Amino acid sequence: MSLWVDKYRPVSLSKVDYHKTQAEHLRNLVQQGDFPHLLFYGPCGAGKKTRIMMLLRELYGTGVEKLRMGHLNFQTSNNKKLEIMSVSSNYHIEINASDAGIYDKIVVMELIKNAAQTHQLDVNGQGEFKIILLNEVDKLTKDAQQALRRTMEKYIATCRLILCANSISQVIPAIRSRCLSIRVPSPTNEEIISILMNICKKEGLSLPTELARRIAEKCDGNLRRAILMCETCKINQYPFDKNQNIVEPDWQKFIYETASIILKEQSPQNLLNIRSRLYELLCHGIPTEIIFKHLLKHLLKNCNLSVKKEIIQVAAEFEHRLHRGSKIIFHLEAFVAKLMLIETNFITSYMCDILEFS
Amino acid sequence: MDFEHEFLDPYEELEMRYADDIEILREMEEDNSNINSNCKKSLNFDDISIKTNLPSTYVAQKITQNKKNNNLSPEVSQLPQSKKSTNYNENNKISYSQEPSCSYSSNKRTFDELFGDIDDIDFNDEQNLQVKRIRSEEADTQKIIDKDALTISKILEKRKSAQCVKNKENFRLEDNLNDQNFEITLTRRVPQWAFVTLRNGKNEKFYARFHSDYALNNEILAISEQCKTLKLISSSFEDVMAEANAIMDKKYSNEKKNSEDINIETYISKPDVTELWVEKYKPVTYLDLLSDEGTNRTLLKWIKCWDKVVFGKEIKFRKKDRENAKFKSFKQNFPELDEELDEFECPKYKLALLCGPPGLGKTTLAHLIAKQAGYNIVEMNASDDRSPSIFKERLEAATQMKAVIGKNPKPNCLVIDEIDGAPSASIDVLIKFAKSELKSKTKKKTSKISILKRPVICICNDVYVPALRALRQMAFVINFPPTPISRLAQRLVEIARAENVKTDTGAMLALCEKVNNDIRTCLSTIYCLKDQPIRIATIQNTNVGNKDMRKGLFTVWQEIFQIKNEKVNSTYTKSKVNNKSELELFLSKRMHTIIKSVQGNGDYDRLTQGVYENFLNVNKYDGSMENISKGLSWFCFMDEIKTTILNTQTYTLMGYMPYCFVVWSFLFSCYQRTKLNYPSIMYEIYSRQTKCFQIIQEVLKNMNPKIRTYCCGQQLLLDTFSYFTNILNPALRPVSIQLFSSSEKNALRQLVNIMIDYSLNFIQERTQNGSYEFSMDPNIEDVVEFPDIPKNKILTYSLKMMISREIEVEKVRRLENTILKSVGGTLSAQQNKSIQNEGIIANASINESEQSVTRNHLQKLTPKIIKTSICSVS
Repeated sequence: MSLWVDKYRPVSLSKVDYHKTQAEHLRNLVQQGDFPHLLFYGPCGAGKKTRIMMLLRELYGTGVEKLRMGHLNFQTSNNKKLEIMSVSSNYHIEINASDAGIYDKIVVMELIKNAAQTHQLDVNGQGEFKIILLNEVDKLTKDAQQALRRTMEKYIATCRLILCANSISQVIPAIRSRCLSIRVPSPTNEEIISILMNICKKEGLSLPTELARRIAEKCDGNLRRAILMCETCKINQYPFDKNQNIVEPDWQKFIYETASIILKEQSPQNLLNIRSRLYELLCHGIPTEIIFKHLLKHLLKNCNLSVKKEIIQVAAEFEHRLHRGSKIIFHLEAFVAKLMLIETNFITSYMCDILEFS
Repeated sequence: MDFEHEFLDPYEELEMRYADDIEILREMEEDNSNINSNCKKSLNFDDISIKTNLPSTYVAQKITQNKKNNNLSPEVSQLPQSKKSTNYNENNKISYSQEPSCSYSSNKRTFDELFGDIDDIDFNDEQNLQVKRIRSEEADTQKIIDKDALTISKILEKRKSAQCVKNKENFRLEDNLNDQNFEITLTRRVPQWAFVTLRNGKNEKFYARFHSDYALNNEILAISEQCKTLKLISSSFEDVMAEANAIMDKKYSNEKKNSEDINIETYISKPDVTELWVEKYKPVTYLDLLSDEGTNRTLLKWIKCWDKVVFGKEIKFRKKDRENAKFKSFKQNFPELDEELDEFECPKYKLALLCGPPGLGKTTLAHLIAKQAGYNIVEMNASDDRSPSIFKERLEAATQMKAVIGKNPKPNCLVIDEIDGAPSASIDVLIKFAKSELKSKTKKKTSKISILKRPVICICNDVYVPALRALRQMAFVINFPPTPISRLAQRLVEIARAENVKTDTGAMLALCEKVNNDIRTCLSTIYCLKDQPIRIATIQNTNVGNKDMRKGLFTVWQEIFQIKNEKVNSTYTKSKVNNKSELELFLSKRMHTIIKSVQGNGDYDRLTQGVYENFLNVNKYDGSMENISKGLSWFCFMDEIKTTILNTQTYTLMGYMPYCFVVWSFLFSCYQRTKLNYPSIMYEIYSRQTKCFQIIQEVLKNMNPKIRTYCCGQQLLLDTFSYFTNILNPALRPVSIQLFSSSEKNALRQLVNIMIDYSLNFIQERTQNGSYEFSMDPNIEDVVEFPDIPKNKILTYSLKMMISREIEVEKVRRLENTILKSVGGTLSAQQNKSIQNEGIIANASINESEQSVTRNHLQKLTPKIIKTSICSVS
């Protein structure tokens, strides 16, 4: 546990750095020893998982921290074997059902049945129910979510589900209504700054507030990234300099560069170049929404005001089409081509204006 | 109106089929009606009981007993169901058979007319009488019935006399033929001749004699005989009857045979109409052949190589001569035939394999060449049974037997048509058969039977069928080139002229182009359109003769990307000058060709991918962004349709897919031919993607579970690993570990801890150029590094080695600690806390996580105490 992110992660609800009232609520929730199904949602790096683990610790004591890895095997209807990794303690089991792809329904059903059909042996020591922790619920297929809704109610005597998602929009309403939804928002910049300062203090380092602020601004409200950035800064240069370079992830740099190339030249040849870059991003498994988001972000920063609206509209359209289709590269490239078209049109009209003016 | 019902219903049924005969029958019926009217009998509807119904079988028997009409009786006995219908049939058949041979039809006609005159007059009277009778008197029917017999006989006499007046000669003839009662045309008993049942008002049956066609003809013949005073009656009649019988027999036998023979029948009956043009205008001599000259010659040369073994002729001399001539005359683009003979004096290639698309004349060529070379052709095709055993039997029969009977016994030449459809086992038999001489040579010379000594020509459409693979290697493969279009068109014009079809060479050229030089299709199309003059427009507009051809991927891509040759080019430029409609015509034509070929191929997915991966290269120089953007949004559309189809099984949407290709073609095509690449990037991308995914999974699998619980794949990828390239690169001097400063030591310890947490390590790998290198395992650098992004400084080889060693040491140390800790824990549980504290102090470097031990856990492990303590003691 020596990466700062892991090292300075709070373990009890009483020690959280932000969203303190929420932590209080959670503690009250657990105090009775019983609670409904929970659905934690919020952006990456806001501390959903941290809060879930704190909640479990509050409920079961430190025993929940004795984790072990396991593999669950499932067999689909057409005899395909699936292996899903799980992390479990005596009190809970955690899986990422979306790892199973289109077979997630089977995983969800089997898992909950297996876990829920056995009662806890020692009610006093272990509590009355088990916890099943499902990650990335928003990436479950609709089928799996439908399968979940009934089993959730059926086995409520022996287990509770804690669901964790980035966005609630992909979770079907039936599940949303069966759970107590808890939103974990990103920490504010001030909170991030104070956390970074705290960590550095504990490490015995002196972090200039200016640098902490810059990190907080760069990290998109992702605390994990902020801490990692801070650690990287320390490795790269210590003592800190308030103007020192803050390293961004490579993929982000790559997307920004791609955006610059789009703006630099609009030609079929260049499009071919961008296609290979898009392929590169897809190869590395960068999610499409992130590609869209960062491309747009960078483009908006660098393009003329008059085309901004159009660009946003186009991005929305193509991202929507992408979700209806399946070949990502077509949509990404169509988006890029459209951007290029908008840019050329803008430049020609701009040139015309200048000529007319003169 | 009982009377009319009895008669009119069957007429209506048969009227359609036997219009002619019915005409005759009607005359007879009217005769009878005359009789009825003359006798003035009344029609009684109530008195049904008197009706004398004979069972139909009895009637049939009676009929069969009739020996005078001996040629008719077998017919009648076979059809005993209905008297009337049998009679009609008889009559019909006779008239049918005799009609062609009847040379005195003019005479007959006069008879009919004469009868007709009388009937017309009398029929009307009868009608009137009937009406009157129904109204007035039904009571005194009894009297009339008694009178009936008398009246009938009277009528008969009258009628007879009338007939006698008209044709005395006729009666004499009848007297000769039928010795008794022939004059009586109406009887109450079932007569011995053909008859029609009549009923009077009391439902009494009368049987009226038919003046059948045949009887009339006989009469006519008799008259003619008398006129000429020659003994022609018997002979001509017999001839006529024999002919009629023959035709009827043939019909009967044909009915029994299966449908296969129908063709023969039609062929016999109408020999000149059914011959297909394809057969009619088949090349008869070698010079008539349309196919490529080189191919023809090669095959001929090959078959001539058999002369030595088959005919015993010496061919060496002639062959050389010809070969030289050929070398001089034209360049060959077909395989050179190896003309060496082996020790059995057979050619090197035992088999010839002709292959090419249908309709080029492969079968014709094979047959003609074999005929030309003096062979008797034995053909086997797909319609024959080609199971291995039968195939072998036939193969042996064809190649080893010889026609002995016959005018001019020739050696056989086996032509195996459509061999690509044969089961591979059969083809194996053929191959073994062709190769068998090798085996027999090694074993014994006596088993000469199995040596293939006759030429075998195999014909197939697709030479790349898996079953033919072995055959392809050992056979002399002749690829059939397409027929020269000009020659084909010329021949078509000739045929059209011979068939009086108006056409011109241009139209024929267009036709040939349309059907890809398929001679058969050409001829069928002309045959279909023969009633009108065939012009180019007709050919273009007709949808007859369109072949549904499956084209290869590259052909379709080429069609999409390349605007066709100079002809189209000229139209295009011309249309630019002239008017827009011509351009539209051209575009619509192109659209149709593209849709057709895309649909013909059918693999929309791969086609789309191919277009996608190639269109930017094709359009390198003159593509505007607008076109590209449009085209790409059509790609999106295609993808959406495809996804919808897959998700919802709405296959009706599939119909829209080919139109995307039209759009792409219009947007991206150019005149130059461009090199297209097979789309393979998608696969490459996919494999790289899975590789990245697997690396992350590998990390997740072995990670410290405490950290694992907070991580998921995407987070690792986007955040943690992205910074690892930096975080795992602390500033360390490349010196020995003992020389590190304290900060360096801390940094190293930090690094080692992180790497253990995330189950990373450095392992030694041999690079391609032979040197050794330490690389990360699992190699997360692959996952996070992008091209064009400047890389961080990399740790040196020695440092990596050192880190790797440190990681191993640390792992061992941790393992040790856990064991020691458990020992310490047990001690504390058993004895006192001070010892436990000492133990923990001793292991100062233990992580805090491992220090926190739960009570539960310790209790569970109590049984282990003894074991571990023993271990530590020992």
